[in-house]
Amino acid sequence: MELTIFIIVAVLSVVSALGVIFNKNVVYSALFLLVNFLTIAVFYLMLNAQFLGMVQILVYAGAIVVLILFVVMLLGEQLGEDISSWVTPANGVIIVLALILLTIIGTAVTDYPTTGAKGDFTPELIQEYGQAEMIGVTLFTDYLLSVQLAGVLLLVGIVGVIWLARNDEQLPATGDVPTKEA
Amino acid sequence: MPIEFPVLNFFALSPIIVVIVLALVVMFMDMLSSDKTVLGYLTVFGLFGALMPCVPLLNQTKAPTFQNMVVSDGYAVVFYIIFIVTALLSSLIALTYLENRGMQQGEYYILILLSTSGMMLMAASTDLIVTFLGLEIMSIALYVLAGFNRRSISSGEAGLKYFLLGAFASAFFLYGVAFIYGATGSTNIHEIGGWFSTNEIYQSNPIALVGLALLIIGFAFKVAAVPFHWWTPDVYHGAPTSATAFMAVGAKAAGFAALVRILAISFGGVFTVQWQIAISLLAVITMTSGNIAALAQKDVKRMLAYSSIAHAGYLLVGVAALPASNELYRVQAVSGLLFYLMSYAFMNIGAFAVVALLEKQGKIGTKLSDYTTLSTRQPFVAFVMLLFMFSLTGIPPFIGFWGKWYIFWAAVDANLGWLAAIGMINSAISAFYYLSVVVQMYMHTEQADVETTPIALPAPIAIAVTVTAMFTLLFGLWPTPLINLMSLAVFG
Amino acid sequence: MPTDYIPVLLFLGVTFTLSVVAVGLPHIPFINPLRPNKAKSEVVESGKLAYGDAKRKIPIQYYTTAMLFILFDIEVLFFYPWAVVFWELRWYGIMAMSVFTLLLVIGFAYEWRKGAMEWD
Repeated sequence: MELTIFIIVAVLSVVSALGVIFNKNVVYSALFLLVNFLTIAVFYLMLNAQFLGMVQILVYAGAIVVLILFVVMLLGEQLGEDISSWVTPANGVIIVLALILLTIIGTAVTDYPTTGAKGDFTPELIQEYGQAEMIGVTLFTDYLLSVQLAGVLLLVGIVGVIWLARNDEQLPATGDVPTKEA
Repeated sequence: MPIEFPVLNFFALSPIIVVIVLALVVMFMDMLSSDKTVLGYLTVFGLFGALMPCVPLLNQTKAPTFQNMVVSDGYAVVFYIIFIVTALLSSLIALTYLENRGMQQGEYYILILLSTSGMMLMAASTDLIVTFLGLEIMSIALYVLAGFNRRSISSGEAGLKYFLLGAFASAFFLYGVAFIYGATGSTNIHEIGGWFSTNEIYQSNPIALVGLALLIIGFAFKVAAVPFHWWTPDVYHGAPTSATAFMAVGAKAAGFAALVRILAISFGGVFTVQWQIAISLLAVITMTSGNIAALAQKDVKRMLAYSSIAHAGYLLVGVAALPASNELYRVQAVSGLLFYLMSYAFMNIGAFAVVALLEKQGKIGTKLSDYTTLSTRQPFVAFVMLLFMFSLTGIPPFIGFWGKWYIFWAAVDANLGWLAAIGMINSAISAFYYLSVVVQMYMHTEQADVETTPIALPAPIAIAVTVTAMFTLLFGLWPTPLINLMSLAVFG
Repeated sequence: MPTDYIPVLLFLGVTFTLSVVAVGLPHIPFINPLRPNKAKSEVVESGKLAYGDAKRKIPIQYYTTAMLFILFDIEVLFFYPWAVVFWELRWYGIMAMSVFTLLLVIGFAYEWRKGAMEWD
């Protein structure tokens, strides 16, 4: 049962990932990405990480895809290139290198055990208290600093967006206009 | 469920907290005041305040705090000082540079401060999650700073290029962390080291090796090591010069801070042969190609970008010397690295300050030929530029000489004499392009179309070049106090 | 347990079937015979007359809003695990969350003051 679901979702995941790359229409690519995010959420659910699954749907499927679609609208026009234009010697080298890396990582993961130490939060404990509760307790005790730093990180993002996406008319009119030198 | 509330030692993180609070204060002031120059001065004086808690921290007992997430040991505190000094000096440059380009904005100083806090976290972090958060806080602020001049195409290009490749590097880093977590079950760098020493049968687990390799690639991007350096010349050249000074020194130092701590503590006893070879090879190609590419540059700002790649190579020599045979040599390598980064902060920011000063005058650009007759137009600036160029080359008795001295000695002690020799040959090569700036400034005064109008020297940038020149010369003649400070920098 | 998600799967199945039916029905000639004319093939948009092309560039404000939405969306994710253990964490949790919220409230105020949400 579990294996069947996994195979279906895994195939869907790979197909949608390829769909993102090979689509000429950027909007379709974004929608394929949405499917890909949803399949990853299913993987999280199958690994008993319900909270992460919900987060994946909320943030990635909900917000990030919307943002990507906005970018597509912002840039307008069709951005896709002909797939035949991808066939260049440089890309061939890149594909070979990527395959080598994939082989190394794949061999390491399949032939050797992930031998890590087990943490304090056993499945039984999670069953008893609930996953969101456990995450809440861990986040606000052991990982308190990380939570606060995430706040700082979001602050950096806010300030950066405010500056970069400001209307040009609102910029002060003084100063020279440096251009790219040859 | 019973919860154990952690005991939080805020004092250990006080320099970082001061910097973050300072950023919030600058945000408040930016909302209230329309005079943005005040924000720059507030940043400068506030950073002085952030230096204060570093002094008692140096003598404090060094235990990890915040649930073993960070530690303010001597190593971290010395890096705090490097980052705060970098931010302080580059803010002084920015005060003049941004004013003259009509970009005096509160966002700039806020981003500088937040980026500094990220760098400090990378130095203090003993957990890969905190390292990643520090890396991202630093990098995202730097992406925006690189593209800060929104009316310049090259600045926009710099921001975008840095963002795309930087995000790529962060992904490499994170992928590496995931593999290391899979192999050891922990993100705490002490626990990772402990896992390897207690589970000897797993010491050859290739999953951890793949993780380590990805981690090193991620950091190599951030410190601009060849062959992960492609973004560097365009980004350093396109970004506002004050931001270039900040990122050339700060981002490099932060990358090395985290890399050295992770390699020394987590991987000090495992895979040492592999990563020593990898880092040595990186050092050789980084030094050599950085220096050779710099030889061909006709633009001082771009030349300094390539020179910063070369300096990353010299620093990698120090990192390769880490797996030395005994503890004394190891301490020597670490303090040598810190000394080099400190000296690099002074001389490189000084050089960029001069570039920023000349660039803003409108008529004069960043091209090498624009520096002709500088010795008559602005003798003081020409003289300090001469100091910085000599120091960057590594000519005694300037601070840059001692940095190279300590790093190459550490390499010799670690049986890497060949690496030190390549480093010295490279220093000799670098003399060609550093000294050609000096030649332009002093020797080409007899040409027909000599421009003789004097160049004004505004106060903030004058302070920046004076302070950096003073330290370059002072610690060059008498490096003992600085090396004593660096010898306090041992891991907690 | 994967079996816990059978209701979700059923729900998905019903949704999928309904959408296939809704999209598919008009394509059956028996139900929807095609007799096109000019008025039928025009764009209908809330009774307004259509103008221009649908594929046009949109102002950057949409993007700013979406970007800021993501940032605050991520903020909410930290609130959720905090809220479920609110009582257990007591004052400690409130203090911790206050610091986190303060950072973002200042960011929000800054954004407001800087006019990132102005639409003119």
